[in-house]
Amino acid sequence: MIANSWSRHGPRVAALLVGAAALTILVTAPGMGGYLMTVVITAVLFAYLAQCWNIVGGYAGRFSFGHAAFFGVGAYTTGVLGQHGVNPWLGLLVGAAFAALLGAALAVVSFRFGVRGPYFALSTLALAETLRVVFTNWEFVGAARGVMVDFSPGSSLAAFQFDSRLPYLYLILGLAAAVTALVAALDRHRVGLYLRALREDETVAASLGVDCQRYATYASALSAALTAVGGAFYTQWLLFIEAPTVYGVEISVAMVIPVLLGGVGTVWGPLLGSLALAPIQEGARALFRDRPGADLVVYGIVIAVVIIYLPRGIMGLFTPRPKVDQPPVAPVTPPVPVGAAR
Amino acid sequence: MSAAVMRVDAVRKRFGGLVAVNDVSFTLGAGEVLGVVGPNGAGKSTLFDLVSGVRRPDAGTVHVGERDISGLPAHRVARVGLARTFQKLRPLAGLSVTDNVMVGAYCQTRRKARARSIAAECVEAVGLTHKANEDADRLSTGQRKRLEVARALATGPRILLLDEITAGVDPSGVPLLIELIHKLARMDLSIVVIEHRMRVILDVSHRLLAMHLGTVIAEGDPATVMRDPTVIERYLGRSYVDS
Repeated sequence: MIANSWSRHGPRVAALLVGAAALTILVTAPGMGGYLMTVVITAVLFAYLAQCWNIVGGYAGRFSFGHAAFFGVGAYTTGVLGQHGVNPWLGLLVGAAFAALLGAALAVVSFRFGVRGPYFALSTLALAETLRVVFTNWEFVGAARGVMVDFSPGSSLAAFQFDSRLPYLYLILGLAAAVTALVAALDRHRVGLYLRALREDETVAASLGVDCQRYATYASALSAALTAVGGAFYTQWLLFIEAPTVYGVEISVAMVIPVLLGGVGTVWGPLLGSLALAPIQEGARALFRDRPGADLVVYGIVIAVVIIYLPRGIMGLFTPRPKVDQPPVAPVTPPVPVGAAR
Repeated sequence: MSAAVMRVDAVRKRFGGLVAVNDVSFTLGAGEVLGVVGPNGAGKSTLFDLVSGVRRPDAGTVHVGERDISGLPAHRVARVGLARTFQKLRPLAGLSVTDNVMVGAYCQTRRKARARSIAAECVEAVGLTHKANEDADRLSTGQRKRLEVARALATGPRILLLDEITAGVDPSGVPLLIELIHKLARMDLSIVVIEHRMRVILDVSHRLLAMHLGTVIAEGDPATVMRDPTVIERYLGRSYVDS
């Protein structure tokens, strides 16, 4: 059957597409112009972040709408520590640890109070917004002026600073590949199955021996830590951060959209989504160069159409599942006598 | 029916003004199949929730063997060797039949290959091998019921709570499920069954517990309980006796 062979080969086709795209970027990168390379680095960074979100939003089914909180914590920790002479790699690790704690706390609190679905999304949004306001007004972290990272000329991997864009591109490609390998391993592992189980039904998962709170917390902490690594990369790449940007809703949204577009809770979905999204985004921007904001309208329409017609994302195209009628759950009540016809 | 594998002592659960389960006590013998009957709202499913850790009892204790499991969270109860199915069908949608069952199998092992083979055994035990790779939400009602059993079985239980596994299943599928319960009983499991189909409950049960409004109104061998005037009045109804 065609459907069967598709569903078996779908992930492989997706992997092939993503691999081809990554290879194309690698090969053409040295000859890329500055603008194009900035676009590509941004696209790969958000593909990486989308994959980080996928761990908790896709696998564990906790639809976070405020992952900018973790991104910002990573960016700020690296930036502020850097101003005090701390090596950015160490700053990256400290930022990841802070974010992991924050992610774990969020998971524990939301589990304890049964905050799920839209309420969870809103509470994560509130967390990111709170941090945005706090950091905009907190003098120690530069308040509204933001954080400027000192640049010492010359490239150095140890100092996490390069005087050309190319090493940043290689670095973020490596990070995206690493997190994808991690998600692929998770997908096949017991813990990945546990996450999918608790996403579908926590009561059932628990009755089968899954400690839902523990695994949801692991997923949240891991996703947050990896997201913070993306934030640290952002700081070292742009050498300037400010709270309205790194804690902004735009960052949170940009992490979610590629996953919705590509396929939630799949290994390749976030990357396929990013791959499809970048041209749409750039195309709309180029098309409406003199109409600021119009590109976002187009972008919004595309996303709305995808969510309506492709609820399982692009991966849903690769792994079709024919619709079947749900068998009704019969409300059987009265005692049924022996030998009765029903 | 030697030593009790499970002892429930005066468990109680109150929802606001309603006492859903009121000081219910019973024991379950090794290898015994205990049937629980009673009209809707009698507190049967809530009793299962209290025993399996889905809800905390307000009072009373539950012992599995010598171990007090009252108030343990559901995932710990599962690992003590007490598994259950749900009345409302709850397949883990988007997961294959095998994956559904493997979730439970990981109670017995951390190794994937071993979990897979346990899952395959359990899927076979309930006769779903031909559906092993299907998405769970594509099964028929009867198949979903059997998936529930396979999943519970995969946790490696000593005690199994089956909540209306024939409800909503068309009559032709019922004998298969009765046969399945007999098969489970032969596997040295101690089983508590909630059922509304008298044919099923009388066929499989060694003993019956009749509940009404949260309390036990009769207990004993099935024939006696079925003739109990209170049970007839509260649950079975006159027409049942006349038929």
